[in-house]
Amino acid sequence: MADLTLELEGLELGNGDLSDLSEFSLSEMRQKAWEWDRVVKGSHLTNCWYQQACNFNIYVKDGVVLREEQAANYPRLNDPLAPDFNPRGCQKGACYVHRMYDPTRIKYPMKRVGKRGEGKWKRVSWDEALTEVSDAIIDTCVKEGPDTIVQSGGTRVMNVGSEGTAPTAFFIGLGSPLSNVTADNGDDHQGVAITLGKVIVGDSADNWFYANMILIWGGNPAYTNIPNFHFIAEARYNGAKVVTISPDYSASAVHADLWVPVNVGSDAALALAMCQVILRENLFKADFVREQTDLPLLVVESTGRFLREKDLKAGGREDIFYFWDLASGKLAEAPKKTLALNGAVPALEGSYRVETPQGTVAVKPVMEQLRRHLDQNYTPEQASRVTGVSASMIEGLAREIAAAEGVVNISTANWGKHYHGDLIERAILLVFALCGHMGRKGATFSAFPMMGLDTSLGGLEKRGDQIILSAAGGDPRFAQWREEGYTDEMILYEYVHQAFASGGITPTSLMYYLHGGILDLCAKHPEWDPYLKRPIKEYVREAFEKKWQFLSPGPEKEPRVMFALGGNFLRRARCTNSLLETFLPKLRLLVSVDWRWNASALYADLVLPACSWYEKTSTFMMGMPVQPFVHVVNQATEPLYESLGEWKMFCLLARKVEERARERGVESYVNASGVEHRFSGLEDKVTFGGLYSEDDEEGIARDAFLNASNVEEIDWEEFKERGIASYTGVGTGMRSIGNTCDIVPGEPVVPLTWHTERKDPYPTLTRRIQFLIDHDLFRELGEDLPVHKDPPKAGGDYPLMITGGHARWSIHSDQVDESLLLQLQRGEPAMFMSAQDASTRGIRDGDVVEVRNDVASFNVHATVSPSVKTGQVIMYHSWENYQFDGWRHFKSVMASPMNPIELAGDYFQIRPITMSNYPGFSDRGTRVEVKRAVG
Amino acid sequence: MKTDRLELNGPEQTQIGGRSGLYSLISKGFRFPTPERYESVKSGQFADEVQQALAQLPYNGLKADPLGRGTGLSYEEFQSHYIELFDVGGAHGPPCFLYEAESGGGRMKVMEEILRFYHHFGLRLSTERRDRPDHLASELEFMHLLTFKEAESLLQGKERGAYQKAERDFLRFHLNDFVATVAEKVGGTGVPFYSGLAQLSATFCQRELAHLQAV
Amino acid sequence: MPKSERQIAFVVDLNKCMGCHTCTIACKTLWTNDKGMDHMWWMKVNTLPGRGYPKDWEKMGGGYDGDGKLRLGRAAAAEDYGKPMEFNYEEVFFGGKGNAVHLAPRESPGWGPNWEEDIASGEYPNAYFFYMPRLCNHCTRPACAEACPYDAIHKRVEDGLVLIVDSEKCEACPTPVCMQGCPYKEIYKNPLRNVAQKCNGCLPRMEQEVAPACVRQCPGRCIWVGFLDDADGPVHKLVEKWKVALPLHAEFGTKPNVYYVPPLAPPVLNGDGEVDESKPRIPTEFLRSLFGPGIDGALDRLKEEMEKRRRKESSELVDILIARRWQELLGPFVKDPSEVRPS
Repeated sequence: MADLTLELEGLELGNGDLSDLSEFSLSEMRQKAWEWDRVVKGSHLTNCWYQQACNFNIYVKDGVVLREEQAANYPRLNDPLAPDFNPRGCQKGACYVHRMYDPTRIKYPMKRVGKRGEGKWKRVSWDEALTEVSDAIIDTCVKEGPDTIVQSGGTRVMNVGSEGTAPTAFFIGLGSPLSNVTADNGDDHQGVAITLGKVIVGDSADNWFYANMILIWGGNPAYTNIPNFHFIAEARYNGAKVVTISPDYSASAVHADLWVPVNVGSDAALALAMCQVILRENLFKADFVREQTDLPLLVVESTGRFLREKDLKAGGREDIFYFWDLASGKLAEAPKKTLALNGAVPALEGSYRVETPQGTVAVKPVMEQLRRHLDQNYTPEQASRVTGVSASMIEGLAREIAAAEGVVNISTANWGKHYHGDLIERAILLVFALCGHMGRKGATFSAFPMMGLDTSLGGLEKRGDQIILSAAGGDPRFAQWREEGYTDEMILYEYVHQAFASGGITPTSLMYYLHGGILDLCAKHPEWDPYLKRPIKEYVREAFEKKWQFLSPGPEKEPRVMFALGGNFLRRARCTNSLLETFLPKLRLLVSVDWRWNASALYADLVLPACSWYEKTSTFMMGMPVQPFVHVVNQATEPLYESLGEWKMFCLLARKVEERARERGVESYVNASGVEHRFSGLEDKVTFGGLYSEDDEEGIARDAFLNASNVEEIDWEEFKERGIASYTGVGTGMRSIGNTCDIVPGEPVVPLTWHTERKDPYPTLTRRIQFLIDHDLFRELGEDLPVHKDPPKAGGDYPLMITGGHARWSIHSDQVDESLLLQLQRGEPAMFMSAQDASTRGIRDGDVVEVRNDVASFNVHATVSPSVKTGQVIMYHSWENYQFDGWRHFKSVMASPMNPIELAGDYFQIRPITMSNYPGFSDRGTRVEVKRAVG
Repeated sequence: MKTDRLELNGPEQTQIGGRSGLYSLISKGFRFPTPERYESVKSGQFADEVQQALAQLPYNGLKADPLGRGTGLSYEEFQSHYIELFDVGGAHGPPCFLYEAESGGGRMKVMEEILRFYHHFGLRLSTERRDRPDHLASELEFMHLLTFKEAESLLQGKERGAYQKAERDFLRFHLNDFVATVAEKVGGTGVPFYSGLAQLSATFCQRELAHLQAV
Repeated sequence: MPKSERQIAFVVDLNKCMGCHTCTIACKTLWTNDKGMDHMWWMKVNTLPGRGYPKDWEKMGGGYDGDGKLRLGRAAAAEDYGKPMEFNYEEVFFGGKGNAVHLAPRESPGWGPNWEEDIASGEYPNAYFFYMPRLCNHCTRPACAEACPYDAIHKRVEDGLVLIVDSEKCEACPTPVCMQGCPYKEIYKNPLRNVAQKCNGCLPRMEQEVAPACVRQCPGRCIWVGFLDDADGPVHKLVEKWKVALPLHAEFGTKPNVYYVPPLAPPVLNGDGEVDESKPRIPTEFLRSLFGPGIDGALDRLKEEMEKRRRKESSELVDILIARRWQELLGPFVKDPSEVRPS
């Protein structure tokens, strides 16, 4: 006789009654492939930006997510002739579950036991891990101050869903800076910020359907806008002409009606030559130009600066400008509170004389100066030599754009990655403004598309109207602002700028330049950029001295604790080696919070497992006008292994910091401004005074949705059921108000109509779309009007120029080592190069090549294609460091010299705010040589 | 943890009991080592229980090495071996993930089918552990359950063919190849306890499959 | 072989396909993410011109000769698929070897389902390429079925889908004749289970009035499914009425039921960088080699109708191609899969 005991640990009894089981057939079981317990709506909390987000059905069986498929329940549009948004989704979202169960998931907290990056770890408990983080935070707050606790920032957590709420509140509570990572990737739109006073301007994809011409210029939507790409194809069938302007015959050129092959980095010259044709042939829309732009404003001929009130009378203002009114034949003050001209007809030509206390001065409209500038430097023939585009094509394109009823652009985030991207954007904007292709259905200029829930939860995503109300109550400047015609948008930007000036938000790219040694790396900068007038460090010194730029921790301090939180800075930033050698040693503790082992996690001291996207409840806080719907993520299953959602993790961390501070008898510390902070009460700051428990992640997601003013009013359960809700307005959040337009569900989003129709002023110095920037630094660098400048020889004098783009196969690095998706590539990083460059170097398709310049080198497989321009090599975004031989990352060669123009400040619209007006990284046009790798 | 107990009589029942017990033991051996588990290995209790189970098997010739009996390793060292072999890797090279779908081809369908096997027999994954269904220890646990139910059916004079078929198919399409891969990767490392356990499980499953195919 | 009463057909608009492979993944995750199926991509998107998947499949033969006699070609071999990629994740993340090891397939695969992604032909700036999704053609005269000596492959009478209906018979077959018979190389062998496997047209979905995954999940809205004889349906209209959707390699003789709207491309540039309308970017010869003599008429009609729309005139063809309502692509299979329960 023997005993047999049934002991279960990983499995549980619980599904039905076993006792009756008398049959088993494998083939029958296999045929039941269509069974599931429940289907929930969800999406992917990745920052795929233009594409995001897509509503998916997530199929769950016995607690395991089996698969996902697009829900395809986007409502029909009001116009019965417009194509709808369905089904949306892409290949990455369609196999996310495969990624979710990847063995590269971080399963439990781990602590480094070897050297950084060596790969030696031990398992620790959550309590041990949080204690160690808390102790480092306490030590650092007390010794060096909370401003030395930084985040590499992750768009995945911090910007996308409501799970960013706790971390944001945690760092604000500590007094540590929030990070703005936009320019790490070069996703900034500096030229748009300079010209429009804002970067957030985007239309919806169905708006493309109404265009006569779609200009794909600075983007590759076939890769980066997969769910919305069909609108381009459908618009083309509907009669729109699709024009793709890019150096290579890209996936987005394949379906174009015209492909314009342009030399790398010469797009400003192309645009300016088109402007020259448009002006020369008087094809511009004079009414639009007179009303919306600064081109009629008068410039003092002798100084090249705007004529200001202070020029006309003692004690006059800096920010009152003038045009010559043809209706009255007199000098007239340009209205500040409205764009409406009320009968005035500003002159666009001619030279006029005005009386000043210093005597008579000659003035002329900016337009006159612009004409002369273009006629001198940017005839189609001149531009043809720079761009490689024939003069006749430039002329033809200019005429077509000018004649078209409506033109829309599709640009994505390319220009910020060019050293002179700001100039390119200013030049392209000039084309659109001259032709009036802005603020009309089917005629829009888009830059940084974003639309946010203006919820009352969480850090800076406070509802703008609350900010404005509290300002009205307590800020002495408020009445003055209103008196001067500030729009809500302008007031919000004041507060965001203030957050930068006070160190509340800090640009990480500037941090890596100064604390990561990248500025030092570019000692040869003056050789690379012939336009540079002074050593770059002198520009930097000036910018800090004049308070044009701000950084936390400032140049005199060093970062001590870093959180890589839903982001991957060691893959994202440029000059990887410099960060490893210079930045990491400054850190007492590098914590990575992630669900997968990415490059930053591999170099971390502590790795904390976050759960992934189907394991939490979240509301998308960041949305897109491209598809104006808010998305929800329903938790499909419990967090795997020992992972936690960011909400719970930071509630527990805040509690642990308080607990450790108590145990260690440390009560308080002072921040960089000398204000005392206390450790006690930190958890309350995270949990809104205990309103939400650490297990109430859904409460956060729910209230983020319900407390927003700019989404259709449906209850939470209905939202969860549908997965989507329509935006009903841009709201009053910083990250969407720039669209300045009404949003009507079922109608296309057409940005800037508050300016073009309601005549609201633009948030610029001149309150108009502004092409002349009479800032000292702009004048010093010869960029007061848009110009073309050759890209610097960043990295050294080598013959090939790197370009790139966001990839088809991965959103940043989220899927970059996903095994299914790698099988649909070549399994390893690849670099496209032209047939001619390959052949002259004896390189064949598939060869391993060494890519090298003065800064670094890396090895990669060559993909050889005649679609690539001679002299161009293409490295698509986001391969991980550990996918390269010796972990020599492709971004290590990207010297990314700082463009001094990006240091400018203290000029109404040119001041650091979220997502713009601070130095960012560039990589396009980085110079390299390529040869076959040995061995 | 759900516990159920059978009193087995006669050679046929005892043989099934031996099989079921051995699945259970090996399963526990592949779970993350708790201090109790370490003690049981170190004291030789684990090896003794394995020997008892081996003695009850319906086929001969299966042997097990001392399986860590009297190991001189500390708990910390013992645990670090586990992490090194199955989670983290280290001196012995890259680890061997203890998930079947990583041992070759097709993550989701493999997981799905295993889940359906579990489901068919009234099982679901532990909500506490939150692990994938294709973890080696869970698959072995499933075989433990099937053989337990087989013994129970026999005891109650019921039809047990369903269990035998499931055991055979699960071994054939899942567990047998999987443990062979694990044995190949871990068996040769010479890491005390785990290399022995991996080898034992591979031979055991192989014999089991042959045994069931003959039934 | 009995004639099917009705025929399911697919139309793929190559002017809408952006090469995103969502169809590929939809199919992979639903059907072939299993052991022994690593090399199976029942749906995949190839960059054309190119050698395709499996490598050089167009040269392997199969189908019927001019007299309609079955002509066996060769079966694709392992190297034509490329080796399944197995990655050394563990080594990179946990190997304790730091940057001495990098993430890469353990063995170079040499080929794969999308090996030639975005590699153009021709010369800059007049290089050209386009994307072509490929799946089983569910041929009216399936050479695979005709070749099968065990009668294990059937063409369904009710909808014309070609299915491997008897896996036991299939398992018993020692030869790869079905693979030799199929000129499109859409039959794969599962080396572990020793059976042939192929696209099943998502029959379990279609039986529930749910569209095939590749069709329903295509974000480019470029694939239509439907019965070829449904005179009001877009598939019929594109294939039979407007004749802008053409079969691939009709000369193989199997009467395939996947039809393609051929690709347009931007104009070529002459040596001075000026638009040269005298010849197309994609050589018509090449398109003719794929789609046969119907290509010229198809391209002309397509351009003509698009030109009409540009002049703001109406065009039934263009309206169909726009597919204003997404459901228009799904034919009669419009149900939401999440709302359908297994019978």
